[in-house]
Amino acid sequence: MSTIPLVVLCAASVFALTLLMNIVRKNTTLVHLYLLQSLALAVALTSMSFVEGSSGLLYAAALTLAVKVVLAPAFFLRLIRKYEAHFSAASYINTPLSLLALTAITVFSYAFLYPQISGYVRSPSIPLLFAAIFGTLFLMVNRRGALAAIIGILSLENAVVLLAASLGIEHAFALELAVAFDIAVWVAIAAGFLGMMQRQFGAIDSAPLAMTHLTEE
Amino acid sequence: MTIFALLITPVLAAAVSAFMPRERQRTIEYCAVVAGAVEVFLALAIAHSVVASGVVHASSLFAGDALGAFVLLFTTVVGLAAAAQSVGHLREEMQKGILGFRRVREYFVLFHLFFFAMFAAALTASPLIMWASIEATTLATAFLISFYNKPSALEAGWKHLIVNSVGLLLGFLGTLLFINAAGSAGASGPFVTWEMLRAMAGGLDPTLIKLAFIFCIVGYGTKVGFVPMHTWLPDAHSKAPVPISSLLSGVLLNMALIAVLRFRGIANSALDPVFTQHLLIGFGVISLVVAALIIFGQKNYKRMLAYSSIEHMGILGIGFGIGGIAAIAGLFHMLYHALLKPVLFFCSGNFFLKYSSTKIARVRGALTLLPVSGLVFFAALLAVSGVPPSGIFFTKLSILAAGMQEYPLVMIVVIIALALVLAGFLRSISHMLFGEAPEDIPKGEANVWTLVPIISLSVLFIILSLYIPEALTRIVGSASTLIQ
Repeated sequence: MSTIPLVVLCAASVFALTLLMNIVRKNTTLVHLYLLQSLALAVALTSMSFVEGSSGLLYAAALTLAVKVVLAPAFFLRLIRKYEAHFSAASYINTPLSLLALTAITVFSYAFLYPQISGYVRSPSIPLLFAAIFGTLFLMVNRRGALAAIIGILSLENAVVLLAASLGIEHAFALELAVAFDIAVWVAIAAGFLGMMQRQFGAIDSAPLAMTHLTEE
Repeated sequence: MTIFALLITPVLAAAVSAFMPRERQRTIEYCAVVAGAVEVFLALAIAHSVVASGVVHASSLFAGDALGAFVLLFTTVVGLAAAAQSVGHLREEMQKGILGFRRVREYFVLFHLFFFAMFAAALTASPLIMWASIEATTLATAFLISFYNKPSALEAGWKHLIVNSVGLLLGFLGTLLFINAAGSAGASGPFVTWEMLRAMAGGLDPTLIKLAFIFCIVGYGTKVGFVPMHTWLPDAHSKAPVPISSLLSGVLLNMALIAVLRFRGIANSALDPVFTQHLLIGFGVISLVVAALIIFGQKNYKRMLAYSSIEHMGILGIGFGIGGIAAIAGLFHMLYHALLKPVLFFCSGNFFLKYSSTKIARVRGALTLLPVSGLVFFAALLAVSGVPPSGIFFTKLSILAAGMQEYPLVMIVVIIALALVLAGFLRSISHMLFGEAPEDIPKGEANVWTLVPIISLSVLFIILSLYIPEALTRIVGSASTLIQ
């Protein structure tokens, strides 16, 4: 299942979009990249569902489309407009160094993690998705914007779900529904925090949250 | 039936609380206490069934085993105490004008949902549902931690949400890898249960299980508060309302640790147990040493208690890592810590209500102004440090004795760290409890609701330190076989 060419293409897209997320500076672009990444996930799940004849994967694809491609991005774009947060804050390390770090992450995934799994599943998707997982973690660590952290977590979830599907783990509709509900609630809570940040600090940027308030009281 | 009743009770309580109007605030408060009492009763019933007949199956997805029943026992007891403490604490803050009715109602709704998620995590037969439930605890507590809407509370809530979400996604990946290994060994369907995993553990691929366990210990370990993934914990514990801090420390950390231990039990059957042993002991020792150093220089008493939780998770990591008698001692240690740490947080809440500060330097003469809370805080801090005849003394001693045979150098480091913790505690409490009390602060406890939970949990801790019921010993014995 994991060697279906379309799925490999989608995994490559998820990885490439993760790299792009680490480079772009505009919040709106970040959300659009997340939308595209979620779309790649939905396409991969749909393609797997037809090959496997699995209705669970088809439901998973439909839920991904509804929650991650339509609802969450629309919600975030609305927030960006509302708070006029079109540009995100700077990253901790510059773009060339970020790319070097991402290269190291990719090499690590191919050279160390993939050999652990390859006894089970041999697919070019697996190392790409491991690299995407660590790439999104890097995004959250490196970027100061609160929105980048939220998109990073959602993007990490995309990579984990596609990795699970590529490894051949079956999806039941109930499970997918639970995960989709979890994501929807998570997005709502994270958005609530963005609103509170805007009220407290006048920006949806985690830079003012430099832990100055936590040490004073 | 009992299992579903326990799952439904907090949901019903949340629904009742959500729709109560302003004039029925007392109903919300009593509802929390009554729900807590019902939950204790149901947990006892589940424990009784488990002692009588082993695993109790409610459906293919929910079942109570010895480990789940054990965790539920102290979770519900601490929950009842926290509900009562919440009533007293929030009433006092409403009187001071810090909170309004809507905030109090919101608090109790989230409080009950938090318990629903914890019960689901303890009672599910599926590792995936356990993951979703533990993730749900993060969501339920995010707004409880930032409850006071101050910049510092917002920071703490945000850190809690982001750090734990990342950690739990890594835990999700580890969980999926375990399920994938089971799938490759012949298990079918996404709802692979703990029983299925245990039954086929010997045939799982060791390399894959190694990788899966690393993701699980890092992922769920974030929620446990293992160093270096602990960064959210001191902030969340110190900024949340006191009853929530007590639940985070006394219950939630244990729930996440139980998740790690369940995977550990399976991993040990698939590969050389030394692998998980070294990982648990490694995380345990680092957590203990870092916490001890920070406790020694700590200036904020709520943060001191938060780091004490990290210290105890470290001790548990070491105990469970060593295994055998130390694992049994670890389970008792978990129970004692779960009972005692809420007492300390409740007392710290009473200090805060009196002094309006969490800084150690600003609290003087607490024994004069708060004779009950002050005295209990003093005794509880000594007990949690392992001063005899506290039950924690015996559990620490058992863990150290077991560890001394295999890891003598590590145990020497542990003893030094524990001594440092005790010294740090003594330094802080001598400043807080003794000396001249400020004249402008009136003497006396806030209200009876803030005392009953402290005294009840302390009495229970003393009883269980001196006498362990046969049924509890049997549950702990059975639970220890699931995690080794």
